[in-house]
Amino acid sequence: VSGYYRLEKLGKPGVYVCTDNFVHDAESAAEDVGMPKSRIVTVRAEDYYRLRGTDAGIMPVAEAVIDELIDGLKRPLTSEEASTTGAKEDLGPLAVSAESYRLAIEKFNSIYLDNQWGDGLTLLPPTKEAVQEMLKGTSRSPDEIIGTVAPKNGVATVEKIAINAVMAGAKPEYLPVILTAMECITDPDYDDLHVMTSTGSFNFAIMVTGPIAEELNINAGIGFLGYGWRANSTIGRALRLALINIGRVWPGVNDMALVGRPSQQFYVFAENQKFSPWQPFHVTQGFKPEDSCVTVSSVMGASSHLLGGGAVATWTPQEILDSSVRMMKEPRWGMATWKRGSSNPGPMKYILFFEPVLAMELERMGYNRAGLQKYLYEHAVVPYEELTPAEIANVQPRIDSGEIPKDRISIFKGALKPGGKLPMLDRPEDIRIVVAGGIPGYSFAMSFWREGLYAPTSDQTKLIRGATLTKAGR
Amino acid sequence: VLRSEQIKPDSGHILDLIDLKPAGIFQGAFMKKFCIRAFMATAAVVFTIGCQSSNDVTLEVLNPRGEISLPPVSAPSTRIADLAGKKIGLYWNEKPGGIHFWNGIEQLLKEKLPETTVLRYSGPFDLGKEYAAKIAAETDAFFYGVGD
Repeated sequence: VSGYYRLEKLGKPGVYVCTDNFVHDAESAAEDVGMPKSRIVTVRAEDYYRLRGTDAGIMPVAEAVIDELIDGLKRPLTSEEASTTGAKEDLGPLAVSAESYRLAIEKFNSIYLDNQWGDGLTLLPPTKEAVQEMLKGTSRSPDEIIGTVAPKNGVATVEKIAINAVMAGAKPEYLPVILTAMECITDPDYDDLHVMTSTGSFNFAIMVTGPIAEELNINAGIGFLGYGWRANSTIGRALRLALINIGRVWPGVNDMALVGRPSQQFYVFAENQKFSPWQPFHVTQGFKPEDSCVTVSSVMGASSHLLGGGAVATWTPQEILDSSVRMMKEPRWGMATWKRGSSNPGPMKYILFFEPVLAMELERMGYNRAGLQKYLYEHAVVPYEELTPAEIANVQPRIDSGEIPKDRISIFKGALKPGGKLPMLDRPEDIRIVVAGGIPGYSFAMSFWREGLYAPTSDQTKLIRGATLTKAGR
Repeated sequence: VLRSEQIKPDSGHILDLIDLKPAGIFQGAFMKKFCIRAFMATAAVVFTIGCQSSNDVTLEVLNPRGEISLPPVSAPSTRIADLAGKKIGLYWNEKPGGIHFWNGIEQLLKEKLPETTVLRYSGPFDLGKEYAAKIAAETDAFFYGVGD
């Protein structure tokens, strides 16, 4: 709706068109941009998606709305549409009374869940005392603003995040991790809006690295993306609740993920430093080995690219590297139209989850992280002779617009001649390698856009600080 | 929307509801003192019973929602009563799923409003400041759609 709003603000009368299943999303977005009475016309979703494949097929849908569209441009605004009065809301505490504690809990849950202030599971009441106890986990001020959360840019203070952490059942010592993850998600350079509202099932992968992971017993071994660990589950749930309540997002209203966002508690896990032959991941991002950090990445789904491993089949490290290269060549379909700011903004980034045995084998073969990144970058290429004219033509605009890093321009230009090889990734650092899982384990990848749609980045690593109940993260 | 009966704070203290001002036969000093004490004792019993039967537990819970600062509300632009001779822009983001629908809208506009000009535009979800200025300069009104 933001584009519609720009044109209206420039004095041009317009009509926003969407399917009826998206009207709540459009109305919510119109409120967000400051034009809640935008003119919106809907088409029937079941007809639109069924018939849109051809000009002739979709014509009855267009015919059904054309008069309404024209009317939307001509009909004068009503006094309600012309009103510029905004609404205010009360965010103060609520008193919930009942004959017993059990009934009070029931009543509290009814109120919060009926009003979409929860995730559908039973919540713990965020009493003042419980929130104060939660806040003991950090030395940071309750009033400190961590950032604003999409889509409605709700203000995330330490206290508001703590309230949601209480509701999630998190322990106070988890709070510094939760706050750091929120710092990542709300960083102005991070595109949280797309991940939280897209029709695709994007989600956040939240990796905890450094000594705090072991102190908090965050699972890094067998089952690391599954259930059973309080830290993994409630850190993720606290973040989900914080995004629902602070960002004001809700399925079918302004979160339009068509099949939802599994897992609903995100993918919270720790790097398996115990078995990793390499330094913690955050060292690759400029932090010290002894630091504890959180890395948040916008991913397209867990285990979407299985690379190999497991308890059944045999495998070799080379087979898994070959599998990784094949995966990185798959986005070739969009290569000719990569363009920053579009819905096909550029090459993928990858998180490669290497299970411990593979990592140790690769180390024995002489690879470190940088060596593996270089190997994969140099092998995930398309020979010049196989490039289409459109793929060749799209390289120079990407160089001119600054999408291709300066230190890589010579490689891309050199690829555009006989014998050249055009990389599928913009730089080796776009391959993130982490050691996670148990023994045996699977190696797999999660992928995400290098560029966000609404903000420049789709991953962030930040230092955990302010912890008071753990040795690490202080 | 939050139901008001659910969030209404507890009723005030039961003694707040009782008028303790003595009157009539209770105006003598002893009787006054006695009656007030008796009344207070009775009221305390009533209060206790009342609490046990209705509001034994009160949870004061904090609001989990973040404060939002919505931008100042703007009204849509003034409409155009007569579109004859005007230029209407059709904006669609570049995804292929919507192309045929907008082809149909363009065709119907030309049939129903033969004296208008239809201009097609495409780009990202949010067309951006510069592109918006260009379209605004070239058109009088517009239809806008984005999606998959």
